[in-house]
Amino acid sequence: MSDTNGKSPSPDKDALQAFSEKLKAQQKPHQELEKTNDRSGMGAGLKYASEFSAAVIVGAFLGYIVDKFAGTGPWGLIVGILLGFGTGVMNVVRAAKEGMDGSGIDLPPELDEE
Amino acid sequence: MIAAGLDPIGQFEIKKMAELKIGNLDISFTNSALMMVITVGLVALWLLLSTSKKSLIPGRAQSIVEISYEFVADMLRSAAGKEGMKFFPFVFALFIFILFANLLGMIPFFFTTTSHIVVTLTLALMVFFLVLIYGIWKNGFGFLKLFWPSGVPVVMKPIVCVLEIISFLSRPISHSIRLWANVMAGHIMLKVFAGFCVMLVGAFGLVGGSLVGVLPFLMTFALTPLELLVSFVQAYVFALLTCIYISDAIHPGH
Repeated sequence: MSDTNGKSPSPDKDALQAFSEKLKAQQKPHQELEKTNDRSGMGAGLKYASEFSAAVIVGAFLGYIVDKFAGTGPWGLIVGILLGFGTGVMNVVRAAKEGMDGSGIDLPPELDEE
Repeated sequence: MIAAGLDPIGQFEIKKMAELKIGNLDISFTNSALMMVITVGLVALWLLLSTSKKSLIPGRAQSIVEISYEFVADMLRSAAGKEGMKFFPFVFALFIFILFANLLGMIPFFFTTTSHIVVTLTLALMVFFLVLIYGIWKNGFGFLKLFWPSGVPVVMKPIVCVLEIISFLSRPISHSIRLWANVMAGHIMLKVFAGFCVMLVGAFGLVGGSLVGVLPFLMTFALTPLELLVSFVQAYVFALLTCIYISDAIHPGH
């Protein structure tokens, strides 16, 4: 009843293996489809664009408000826009980080490097 | 007349259906308001009808409601913890409203309420003020910890603090732009490609136009399911961001 003639011990096992191979081959295209279909490219682009532009808009607006009430010429607006650009970069880095572990939740901040 | 029909922006036009005024304030009932009423009505009808039986072993309709409940509850619980569950009705209402508004907008000749930034910005500002007021009420001055960065050299902290404040203020804008831009861009794209079919028939006659027009038609055909996916994904993203912001209000330390 053993493997004297090179055949495997049970035909069930062969069938199971063949079946699981077939199953894997069937699953493969679906998994790839899910990965690429996960989020449309436009959605990802709009995510970063909105994160960046929102910060610039808010920075410029705050600078403009400061100018209007303090009468500090164009300097408030200039500083505000620059700070807005900085914040925009920070927002984009955060937005890119948040999807990296797949949970969509913010990763904890890094520890101090001392 | 045909040009007006092909205009890809024309679908977003607000039309007054009934004039209403309080003093100088124009609160006319528009097609956008009508769609919102239809959305809320449909959601209410759906939830009422499918939970009317309340059987222990759910039927098909009840299962769908339970799955949506579980979906939003899991999302909120994993982002904001158990404490966040007191905001469940708010998040669930937001998610279902946006989802229904997006999906209803996919039906031809229906107006899409979420394609107007006024609507999405109002929703985002609701979340923003909820987070701000609840965060200050719950944590007092501890809420300001949200703006005090950790993991940054001491010299840099005041500067990064300013950036954090701007970042916090920019949240409702990016929150609303993401939903609005996705929905609006998708609808314009659909309309442009569908408009090509009509224009080609107009240019080359019925036979020649139909032969060439197959190409933009295929594009429209492919874009429609993508837009359905975007409708769901954007409602999900909006609700997920809401959950993350609520978690900031509850635990401002990190």
